[in-house]
Amino acid sequence: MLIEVLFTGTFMGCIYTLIGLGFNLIFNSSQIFNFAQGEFLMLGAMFYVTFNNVLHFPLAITFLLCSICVGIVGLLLELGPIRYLADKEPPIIRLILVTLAFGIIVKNAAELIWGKYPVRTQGIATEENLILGGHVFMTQGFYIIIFTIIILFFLWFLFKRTLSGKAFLASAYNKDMAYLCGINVKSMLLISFVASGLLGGVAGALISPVSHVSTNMGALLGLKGFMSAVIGGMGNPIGAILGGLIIGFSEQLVGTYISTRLMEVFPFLILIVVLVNKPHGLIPSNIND
Amino acid sequence: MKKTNNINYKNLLLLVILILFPLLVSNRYYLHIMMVIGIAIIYGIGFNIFFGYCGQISFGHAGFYAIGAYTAVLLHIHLGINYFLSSIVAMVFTGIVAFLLGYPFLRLREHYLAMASMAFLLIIKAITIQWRELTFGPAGVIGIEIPKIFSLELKDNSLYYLILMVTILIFFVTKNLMNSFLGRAFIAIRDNEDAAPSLGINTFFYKNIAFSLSAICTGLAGVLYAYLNLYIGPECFGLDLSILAILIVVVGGSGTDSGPVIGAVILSLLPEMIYGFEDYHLISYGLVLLFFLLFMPKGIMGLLNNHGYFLKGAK
Repeated sequence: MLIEVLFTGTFMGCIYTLIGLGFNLIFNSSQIFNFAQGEFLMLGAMFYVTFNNVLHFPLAITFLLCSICVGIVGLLLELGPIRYLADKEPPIIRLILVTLAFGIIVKNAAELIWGKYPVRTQGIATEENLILGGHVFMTQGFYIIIFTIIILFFLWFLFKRTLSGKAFLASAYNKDMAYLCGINVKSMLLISFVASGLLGGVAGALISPVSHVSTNMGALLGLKGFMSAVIGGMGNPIGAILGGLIIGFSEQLVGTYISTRLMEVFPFLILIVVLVNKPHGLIPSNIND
Repeated sequence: MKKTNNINYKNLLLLVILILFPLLVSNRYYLHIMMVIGIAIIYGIGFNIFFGYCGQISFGHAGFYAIGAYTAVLLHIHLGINYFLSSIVAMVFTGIVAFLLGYPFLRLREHYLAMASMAFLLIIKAITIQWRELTFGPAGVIGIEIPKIFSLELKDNSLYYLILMVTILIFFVTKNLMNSFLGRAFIAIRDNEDAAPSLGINTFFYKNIAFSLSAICTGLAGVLYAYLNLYIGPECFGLDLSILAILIVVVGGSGTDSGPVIGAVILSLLPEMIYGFEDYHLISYGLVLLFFLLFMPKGIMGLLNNHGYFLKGAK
């Protein structure tokens, strides 16, 4: 029993980590918390359902298209409202509300396109469960974990080993200085929105076989991804992983051993306790200080 | 300072029209809309204290709305306390909850405050759904009996006059409070939270006062909502409701006296105007909010005068 619970906790934690990384990317480049991130995830899941159930595309193409489509939505958010506001130096509250408004529009537009009713879809593998030594595991869970590790490795490689990744980090540390060094800071902002759209698309496609896919799924999952980023330390990728796993494990353990009633509330309690005691998260980022 | 309590004939005319409204219009539907607007005004004024004047963000005001509505109704159902008393208790209780919540929450700023308040809302929502013995669970409280105050049944006209009275009272109390030392302290915090302490303002304390005052108004709006609809359930108090508060204030003009009134009228009429297109209801909220944030951050009051510059930004 415990092993299954820990397994579920791990792969849910991986999903939260992916969402949290999306938040981090945008936060690092612009100090904006993107409240539309959850809707990016929802869109990814919706596109996955369409490409997989309706159009029967091969899996690789489905994943590619999911992330590209959501990436385009991220692009629209940056090119439209965010870029328009960029030279006005608005208070941060206005930017928060802009991403929130964009999220509302995306969610309700999706509801008009795909309808309100939840749908089910099939995962990467044909068999739903895998039995190992008497324990039953969800096959999709393995894929989620593997994909997350690949994405994490890719991001690590990008930021630590390539010039453009370093340029991105440089503009996150100090915009003016990066600008003087010849880095196109504006395009870094654009890249961060597109990249977090891509991440949201992949995360949505990965989670869609595990849960019911509906237009309402974005808010709660987005919030939990958000919490994992905040708990771990906003702007810090290691923090997002830690936070995601904390939320994933605690949620499953509480749900199984204490009470399913408490399961939904528990992550929020953790969040409030962490925020109050360590407002910058467990591993504070040294960026943006 | 200019004296503001001169008799203004335009306002007097408006007041007379509002008082005579139930006699002039026989259609109960319009009366209902007027009451919805009144409640939205109280809600907006409450949110404006915290958001517009004090410059803090909250996504959790629907939680206070729910606390107000549920406390008033449940005290009556479980303990048999009469409505008049239970409503007062509900408001005070909402204020106390906010004051205590303020201690951890108001140490946070901006994104983090938005986040924590949203978590608060979801906890309240989970309580209303899960604690069935107290709140009757997901089905909500159905068939609340018509409230009475001193053997006067509060429905239709009498409820209308109650809401009208309370709205006008709240409007003037808030207007005067915001023109007092308290209001100026809030504005100082909004304009520069780091510089405010150098003027001798205890930022944390005043933020908490703003939060509690705003929660009391919101709780009152929740109580009146329960009276009007005679039904409360968890789905009435979602994130949409918190967003409505933001919309009312942003559209009307944040940090102005009359902004929430104008915003509440527009946003209560908006769903009625696009009646029959319910699917487009929420998307229109999103579009309206985005439009105002991008192009008219001062809101409609900003067109009339130079108030509400709070969201405008440096350039």
